[in-house]
Amino acid sequence: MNLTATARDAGLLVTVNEARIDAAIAVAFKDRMRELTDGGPDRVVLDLAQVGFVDSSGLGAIVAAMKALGQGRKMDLAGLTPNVDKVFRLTRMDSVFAIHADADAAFRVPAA
Amino acid sequence: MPMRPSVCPLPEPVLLDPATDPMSMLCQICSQDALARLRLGSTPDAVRQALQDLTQTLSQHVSPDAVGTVEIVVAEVLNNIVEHAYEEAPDGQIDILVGACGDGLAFAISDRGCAMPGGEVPEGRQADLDVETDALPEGGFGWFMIHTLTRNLTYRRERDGNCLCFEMPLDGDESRLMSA
Repeated sequence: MNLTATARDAGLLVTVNEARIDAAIAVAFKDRMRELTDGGPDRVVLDLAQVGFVDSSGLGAIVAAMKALGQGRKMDLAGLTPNVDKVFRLTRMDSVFAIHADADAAFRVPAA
Repeated sequence: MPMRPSVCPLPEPVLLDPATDPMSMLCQICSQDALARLRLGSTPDAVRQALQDLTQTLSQHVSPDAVGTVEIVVAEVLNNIVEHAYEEAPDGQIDILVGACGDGLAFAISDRGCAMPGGEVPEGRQADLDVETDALPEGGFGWFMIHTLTRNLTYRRERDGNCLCFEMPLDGDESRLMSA
């Protein structure tokens, strides 16, 4: 499960270097996200531009990663590809996350 | 959102002799030749490979957008079979049959695992997302997506196996569903 974390502004940009977040790697994703974000900046942006597919396990893992941040911390999403965007809209999870066109756009928006 | 009635209802499944026909658990898909026929084992990696094969095949016949929607539904069905019908045992067999049917695609996905609890597919209701972050659901999206994106979803338990049949429209119905 290849994730890279980069400090950006006052936040953390986590880039998912995987084509899929699905049942095969959902647990590894959750674990790795925890490692990268525990004790880190309040604002996390998850860059999904390389991810072409997310199933319900992947969606659940992304939600779990956000919940694991804890109180006062926020996770935004960036770079949703069409099939991934479809899943978020269908489940109405696009109302739960702030979604940006790409990582740059995510950091042009001042943190709320 | 009322569904248009299917112009090509799935006929009753034909139960052939499993001793002579390994595909006997499959519902008969219309009268046309199958667009895709796959067999896979009950592991997440096998599911990934099957989805790749399926989407590659269907890309020759339908739009990328439709292929994407198919992948969403079939992934959920296969994940459910691996996790629940076979309870993560890796030595199960899953069969997928896809046919063109009227204005869409018809699917029959079968396995020889445990029966669905209660003999019926789960309802898969839309989760309540108007909750505090720490109360957000992390699961239960799969059946909701399957129900929303398919029509004529039918589950049958036959002999020692399961068969899930459904249709997916191809003509823009899905975009209407999405905005419902």
